[in-house]
Amino acid sequence: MTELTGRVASLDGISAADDDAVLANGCQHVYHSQSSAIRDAARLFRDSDYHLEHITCLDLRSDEGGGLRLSYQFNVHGASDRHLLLVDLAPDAHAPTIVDIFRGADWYEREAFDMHGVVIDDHPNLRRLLMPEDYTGHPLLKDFTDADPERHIMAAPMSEEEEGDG
Amino acid sequence: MAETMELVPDATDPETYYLNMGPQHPSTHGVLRIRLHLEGERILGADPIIGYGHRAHEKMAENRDYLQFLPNSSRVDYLSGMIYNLAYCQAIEHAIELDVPERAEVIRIICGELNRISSHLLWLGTFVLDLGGFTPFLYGFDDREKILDILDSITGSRLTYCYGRFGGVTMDVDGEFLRRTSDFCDYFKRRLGEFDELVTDNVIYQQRTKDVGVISSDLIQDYALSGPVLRAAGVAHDVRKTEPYGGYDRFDFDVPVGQRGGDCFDRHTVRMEEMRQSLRIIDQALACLPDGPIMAAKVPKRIRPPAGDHYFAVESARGHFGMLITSDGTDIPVRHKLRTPSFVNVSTMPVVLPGTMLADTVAILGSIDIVVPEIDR
Repeated sequence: MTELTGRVASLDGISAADDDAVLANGCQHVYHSQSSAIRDAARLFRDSDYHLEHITCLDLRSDEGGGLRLSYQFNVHGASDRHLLLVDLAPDAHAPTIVDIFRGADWYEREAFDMHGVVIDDHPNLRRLLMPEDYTGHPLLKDFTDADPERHIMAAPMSEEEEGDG
Repeated sequence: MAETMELVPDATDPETYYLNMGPQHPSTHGVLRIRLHLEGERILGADPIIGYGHRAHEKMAENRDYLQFLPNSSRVDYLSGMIYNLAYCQAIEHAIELDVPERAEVIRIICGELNRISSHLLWLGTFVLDLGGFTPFLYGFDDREKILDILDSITGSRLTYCYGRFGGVTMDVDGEFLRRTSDFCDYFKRRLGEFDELVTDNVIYQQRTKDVGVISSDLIQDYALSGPVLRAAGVAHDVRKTEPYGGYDRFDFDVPVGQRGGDCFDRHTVRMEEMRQSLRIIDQALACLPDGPIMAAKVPKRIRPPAGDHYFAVESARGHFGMLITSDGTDIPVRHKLRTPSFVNVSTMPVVLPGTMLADTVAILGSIDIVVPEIDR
């Protein structure tokens, strides 16, 4: 554990993920975080000369529970040292903005709003990024259905019988 | 929906006006729209409006298995499709811990670097065309055609290659391919000198690009810039060096950086030097191409990466291209996030463009080498 991982993990609401429980191939450090702690963590990475590689949202809702999860990925130039911050959002899907800490977060946060319906609190300009302004719905949600059935053409994955195992 | 952000406090000033650049503007190289707020010809604010080329690759990935997504990968960026196609294969190999034979790795590097040169050549031609120089466009496309022919001979396609397979490549290269590649390298080394005489040393070109559109080091951390835009700003960062994937650590090449603080001319010189370095890599690869199989012996038919996140990054022609594949252990990903470099580079435009002149917008947009389908995915 490096000095930075210790400092991140000691923030209120953040804990380093157990290596055996979470697989993050390609990321050196993984943390679980509460949404209230994102801004503190982002500031810490900013002060340590790290940059925000990307933010992405995951729809993990199922019958057993689970909700939307934001993943923040930080890295540094030079030897790669990737930190992945997993933030499980409450059912209302609100998260604080970090645009004032990393300006590059602007479009990623708008994308999370557009595609997954995550409401980014205090974002200066929270409007759709990729979908048209008058679009309704959030396409990357697992239960998304397009209002227009004509556009519903998707390839079916291969079945076990078709392909066999091997 | 919230009304569009006020770009400047005095947006109602009758002396200023808004101009839509695009979505049907030749210099945006695709359907990109930038809403410019102007005072005369001076830009007060810029708001890129993207999504015209949105094909929902990330949603498609969630509706098919890993192999079925393979043809999509090169459509993300049609100018360096080979790099993206091979990157996707490498990401899956990384996730399921599949080893690739050495011959396939070296072939991939040759094809990837050829593709990088062809992408840079198209950038050079269209960029100079945007600035009013017609001849370099023809020269650039002529040379690019030679690369497309070479890649066509082994892949069967000119742009959207689907050459990689999980565990190797589809077809072995023959002596004809190696001879043509080696001939092209010799030819193109001379040709690059001609490009320098024709473009780099051209006074008009220099005046249009020097000290224009400075994307300086203070934006790097804010936006996580990558690729030639980052290197032009003076940071010698290249994913091929920092996270050597697919055998790049076996080859000797330099990472060029800009000398002028990250203006359009820096981005030009960095790309010109990158083409030279790509030739160096190809030369070495041709010299050490080993014999052997081109596919791994045992490739599982059903790809099931272990449950969890798998991140894999490569250096595309435009910068750091990353894929975050979230798997639940089945053969369909939960999420397949594409982190594309053009997306990041264009998102800096609201900061870079204000204060410049309208005519320079064309130079700045051209110099960051945007590919719109790559922004929208």
